[in-house]
Amino acid sequence: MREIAASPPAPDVGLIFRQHHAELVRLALMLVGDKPTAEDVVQDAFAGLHARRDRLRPDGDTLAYVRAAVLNRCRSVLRRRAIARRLGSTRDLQLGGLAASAEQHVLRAEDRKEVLTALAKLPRRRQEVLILRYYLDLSVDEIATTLRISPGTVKSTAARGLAALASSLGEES
Amino acid sequence: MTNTEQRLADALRAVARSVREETLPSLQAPAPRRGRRWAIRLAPAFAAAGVALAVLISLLVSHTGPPVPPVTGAPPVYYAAMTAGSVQIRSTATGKLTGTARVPSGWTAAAEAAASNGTTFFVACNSTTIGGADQTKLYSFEITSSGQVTGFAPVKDGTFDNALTGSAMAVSPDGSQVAFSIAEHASASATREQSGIEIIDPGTGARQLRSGGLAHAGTLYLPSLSWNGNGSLVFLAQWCDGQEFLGVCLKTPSGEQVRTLDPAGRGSLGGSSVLFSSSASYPYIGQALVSDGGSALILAAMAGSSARDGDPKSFQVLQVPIHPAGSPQLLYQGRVNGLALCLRSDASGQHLILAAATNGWLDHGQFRPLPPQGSGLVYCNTW
Repeated sequence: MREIAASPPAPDVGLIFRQHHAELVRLALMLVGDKPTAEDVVQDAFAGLHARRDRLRPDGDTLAYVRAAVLNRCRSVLRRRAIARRLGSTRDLQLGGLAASAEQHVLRAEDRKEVLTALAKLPRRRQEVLILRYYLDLSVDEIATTLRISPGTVKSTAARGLAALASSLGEES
Repeated sequence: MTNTEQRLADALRAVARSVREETLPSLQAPAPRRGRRWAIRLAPAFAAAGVALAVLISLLVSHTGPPVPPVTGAPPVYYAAMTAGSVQIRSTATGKLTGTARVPSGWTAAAEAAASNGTTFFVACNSTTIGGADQTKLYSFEITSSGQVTGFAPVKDGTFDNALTGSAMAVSPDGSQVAFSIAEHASASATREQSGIEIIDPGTGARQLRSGGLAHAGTLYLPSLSWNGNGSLVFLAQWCDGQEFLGVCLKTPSGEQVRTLDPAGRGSLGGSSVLFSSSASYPYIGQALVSDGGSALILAAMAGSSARDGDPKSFQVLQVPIHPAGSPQLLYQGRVNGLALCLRSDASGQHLILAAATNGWLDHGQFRPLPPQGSGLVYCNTW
């Protein structure tokens, strides 16, 4: 009997999003600082990848790809806010939405507020690396895949981010 | 794990706990029609950013009883409270909602201003499509004697491509010109934008852009605009020295100047003269309005060394004589955490209204809260 060579099926983007929906919203929340925006970012990422699902590599790390899509859209939102603020838009004046949102919705403890405020002051790349490491508990290689940077860059970025955070918090790194 | 790592992980887990799976909306797949771009509105993002803003600003309405100049006359009957999706017209006396101008789908309100007749309003809206081109569109509407909205429509030739507007906007005393701050890209693909002021005649659509020409290190912001009685435009220029995050100066701005723009100047902001500069006493000016026919400025300022470290600082609204120069007179003193608000005056220049965590107006040095109240719900009030 002749066997028909079948190509592996394309990843089910919808299933991945549904399985990791809350995790992705939490990830976006930590970067954009408020839940409605985080939900929109994930929805938008889902819609974008859903439309391009046929082009996803079956053997690729689809979850990492999905996370990267969410991070990219977070950056887009932050850029918009930055532009609006440059013009003096008061609504976008926030010292890191993360700290502000957390303060309002979640955090009452001053310590957490202090940590999140310090985190929000770090450069964007350092924030992303630290969030992926200490919230999602991703390995260096997984972070590298998600952010499309080298493992060495992940390590150095994390080290510098932690050192800056410790310094800001008045601790020894 | 070091102590820093433990604290960071703990804080992030606390944030994560605020997202409960069962409360998340269902993910929606885009319509299958080919070539259709999926767009979602950014209005919730801006609204939520407003919430974050409100957290940063906690206006305490306690008043320390500074000397306050007498205010004559009654405030305007109605005020316009701008949220992301609408402009609400409300009674100043009762707070009752009398009319609503709804922003069209796909746009979010960014700036509003009222003409001196008290009945004509303008609102600049930004496009909200993630990944779409930046665009600003100017609308106008009228309010009736009973506070109802009528005639909400785009302003002639009032669409600005590759641009987004902020909250600074002002209508000239004769109503013939509307000015608002804007950041323009040279093209849709350009990544670097330039801050400037668009001035448009709402009757003819004729417009001019004033940008560039101010030599100062740092990124230029234009937080507020107002018109002088003689037809010149007064603007607040703020420079950030590059230490910014999400477009916010993390330190006190490297420089701030209240300037008056020469109406005859073309194209540049450079043809302007300095009316007031930030100083050690007032290192952070949030808003600046011209008043009393150009003889004074109204400033919303922080007194203190830093406005960005999260510590409560003294927030003051001041009247500063500039022609001739004189000592600042305190109109209001409260406390804010951070500095971000929208301050406007009525046509008489006597009554000030502001939006922050608390929405309200200044009545003889007292802060009078106005609805709607909600953390950052209102971005700006005008009357």
